[in-house]
Amino acid sequence: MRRLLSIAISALCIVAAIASPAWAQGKTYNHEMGTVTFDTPPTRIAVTNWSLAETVIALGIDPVAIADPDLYYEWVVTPDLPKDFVDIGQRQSPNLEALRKAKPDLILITKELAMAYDALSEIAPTMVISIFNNDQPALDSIRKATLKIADITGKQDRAQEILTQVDETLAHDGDRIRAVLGPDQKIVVIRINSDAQINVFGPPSLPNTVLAAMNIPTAYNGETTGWGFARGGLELLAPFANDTLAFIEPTPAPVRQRIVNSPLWKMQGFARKNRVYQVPAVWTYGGPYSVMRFADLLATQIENGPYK
Amino acid sequence: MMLRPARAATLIPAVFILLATASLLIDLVPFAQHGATWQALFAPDETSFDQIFYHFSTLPRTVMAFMCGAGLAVAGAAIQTIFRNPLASPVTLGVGSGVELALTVFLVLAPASLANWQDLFTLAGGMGALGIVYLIASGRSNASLWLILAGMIVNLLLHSATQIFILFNQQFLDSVFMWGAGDLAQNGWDSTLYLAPRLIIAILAVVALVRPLDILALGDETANSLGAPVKWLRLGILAIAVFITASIISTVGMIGFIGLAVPATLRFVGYTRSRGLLAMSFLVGGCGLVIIDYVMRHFAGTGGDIFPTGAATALIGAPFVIIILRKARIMPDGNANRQDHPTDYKITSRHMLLTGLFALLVVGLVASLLVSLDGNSHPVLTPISDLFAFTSTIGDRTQRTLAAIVCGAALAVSGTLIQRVGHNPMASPEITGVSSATALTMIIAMVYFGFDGRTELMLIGSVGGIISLFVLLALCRNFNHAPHYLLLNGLALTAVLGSVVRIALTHSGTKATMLISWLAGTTYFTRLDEVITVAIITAILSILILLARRPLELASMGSDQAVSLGLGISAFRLAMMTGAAILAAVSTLLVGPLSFVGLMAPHLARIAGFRLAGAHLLGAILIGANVMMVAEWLARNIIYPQQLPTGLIAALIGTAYFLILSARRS
Repeated sequence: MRRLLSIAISALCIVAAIASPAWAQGKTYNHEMGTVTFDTPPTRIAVTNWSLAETVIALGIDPVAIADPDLYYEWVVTPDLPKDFVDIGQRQSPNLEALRKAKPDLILITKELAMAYDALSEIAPTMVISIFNNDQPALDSIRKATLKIADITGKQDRAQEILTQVDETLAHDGDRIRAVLGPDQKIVVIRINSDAQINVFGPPSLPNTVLAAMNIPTAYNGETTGWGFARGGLELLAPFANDTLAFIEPTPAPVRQRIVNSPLWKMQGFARKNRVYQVPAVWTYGGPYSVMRFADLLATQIENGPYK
Repeated sequence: MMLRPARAATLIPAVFILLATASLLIDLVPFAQHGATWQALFAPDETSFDQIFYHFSTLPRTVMAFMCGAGLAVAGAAIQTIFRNPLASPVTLGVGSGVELALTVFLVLAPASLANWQDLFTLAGGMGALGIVYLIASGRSNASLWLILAGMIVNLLLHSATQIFILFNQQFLDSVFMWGAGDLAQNGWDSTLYLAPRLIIAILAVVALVRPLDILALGDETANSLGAPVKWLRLGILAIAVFITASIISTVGMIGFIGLAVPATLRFVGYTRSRGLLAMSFLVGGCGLVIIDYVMRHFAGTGGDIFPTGAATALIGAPFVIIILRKARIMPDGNANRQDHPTDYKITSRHMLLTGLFALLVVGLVASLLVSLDGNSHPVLTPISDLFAFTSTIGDRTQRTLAAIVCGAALAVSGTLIQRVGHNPMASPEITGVSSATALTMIIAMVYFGFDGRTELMLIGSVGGIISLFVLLALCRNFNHAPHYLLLNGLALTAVLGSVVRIALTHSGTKATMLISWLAGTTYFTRLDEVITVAIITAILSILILLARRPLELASMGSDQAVSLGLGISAFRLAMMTGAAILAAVSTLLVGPLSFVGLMAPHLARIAGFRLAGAHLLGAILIGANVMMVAEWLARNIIYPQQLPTGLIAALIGTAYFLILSARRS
């Protein structure tokens, strides 16, 4: 019933659009769960996910609704969120009432929210653009998503600008890292989960695709989960005795202490050869800014010296 | 082939010890080949990763597994003896979930400077949970049954509370999950050496209390007449058992069912004296966990992911418990089959009450649609004009509120049927495991077979729920629906659900948060067409059941009377139970498996004086709908813009109700 109604309304709109002057040619865009049509580029964009938030901000647009803004500053850190936006609660269940109050003309979600797609579509045209957990290398995915959102919002020039900036940053940071470590030193990037568990980033992940783009050899190229990491105990690190290890924050301080002071860590090659680096918070499921942030911080930490 | 218990008594421990020793030796084979066994065990060569790994990970992990298994089994044996109840164990009596909640809260909120107080905090959590369970159960006519029931309720509640806490502190999601799933991985000897002295002292203390345990096992009256300070002995032994459990769980996480299955099995094969029981529990529990952990270690790493030991233990232990305890035919209490008749609170005439409840539902519905709270908890009135817009805030609220109300009604009908046909005022879809089985089928279909259409899931879930109910009926046929078998089934299925969910969550980062919020019972993903479907199914089944209220009345009297009155009881009972399963299944998709409405609503309706089948159903429906409506409003508004799962709020209301009820009794 409601769908019929909305079809009727959109049909009316299309008729109205055709009847109106020539500029109002609706443009249709595909996404993972269907298509959306816009007469004019949308400007009030709601995002339910941090990678999308980052990408939209990178295109010079202030999102009107953002989920989990407090946690954002803990995990993603940059870029700054706009001064004024509606907090729509948790990323996994954005509050529909709050979302409606933000009056968006485009809602961007990832496929993790596919179940809410119909409900969101009733509030505003909704597009499903998954950047992670889609069997694609993260950096390619980020580029594609940036271009796609730029296309819809008419910010193609800005997109080229930011992607060029990404390329330049990666080239520059790659040189900085090589200057310290030499050309052949492999890097393995991990996140510390708990006293006994770590995630080791693999081929499709943001850290590894960024390293590859910087022309730095990656140490771990094995199996991963959909999110691009392998999970397990410290024995996962045994093959990397001669490589450089970087762990990404945030980690609760006591957990970090217990991991790096455990015999199983201290006796492994990377620790004994003093090749461990601590990278401040980077959102490893982020967008173009997270890519640059990771490259910059890794290069800076490697220049500053190993973790003690 | 059935073993004679006497022979099983020597065979079972022997097999466990042999297998555990074998697993130890197999781990050492690679070192023995190079003559490095001694080095690997005591002084690893720093240049050989294999030796380092064996010495600092495999070995402490094996020792840890033995200690945890042994400790949990001994604690379980002591608790079972004290309560003279084969279903009692630290985990079934809520200690595990109490410790889990306390530890999660502590890890997330406590500053590093308080780290030394962690033990005390988790111990308090475990004791608190056990206290609540004891409070609910004490002073009832069949306390041992209520003990397990209260344990289940408190477990479910505390577990949901933990999940909510994690839901709002997602940065800890991974670590708390791993811990909650009972991962035994070690990076050194620290944790093992930390836990060892505590466990040794506590286990020695239990062993020293063997004679008092034997006296307590004789029953309170006998023990009292022998001059034993029953109350203090019981409290002391309980405190030690909780201490053992709390220490283990806060170090390695939840390890389910060892503490229940091992002592119960040993008692079944003939270890009835405390001395033998404790010694064998120690050995079999320890070796058992070593074996399970050995197998799990070899599973780990497949698909770039791990397989936590604790979750696997529950998965193996739960069905095992059903089989063993069925064979053992242990009745927890001579009075277990007696109905626990609640006293009536005659507030007003039944017609008035029904009218009042209906009026409350209507007024409440309108109010809950129009009034909401904003980010500062100030009430906001939504303009009435919104009512006439299809896609509006009110539209969203209507969908979710109707979903809650319809599910409340469906669960109430389901619960009433199960309580009446099963002759058990404490049964419900949640308690008997029908809801858990439904959720379990849905999760397996979703995570492992990739179904994501909600209609498909609803159908698959219904099939799962119906099958589980039939299995349940088949299992309980010989026992005339004995209450404790229903509980046992629910307990086991809920545990299996818990461990499958944990395994699924550690394996599928994607749907993790969505799964948790659904399991806690959110109406967020509910759509209007689903609500309408569920409403139609509920309405049709309710009307059919109301039409059959006379045979239902007869069926509630007990099958003997009903058969002598000429009613084909089996077919009728089967039909009613199928209806109950369908209703439980369809509502599970909308609000998750853990709301207590199916238990609470029929119970409340009965207490309010609705004794005849028809009135009982109507009363239960109205109460269920009202409770869920209130829960839904609270869930949407208390911490706007964040939203809580409705099922959890309903469960909170349900537990509060049981607490009040038990306080009134005693």
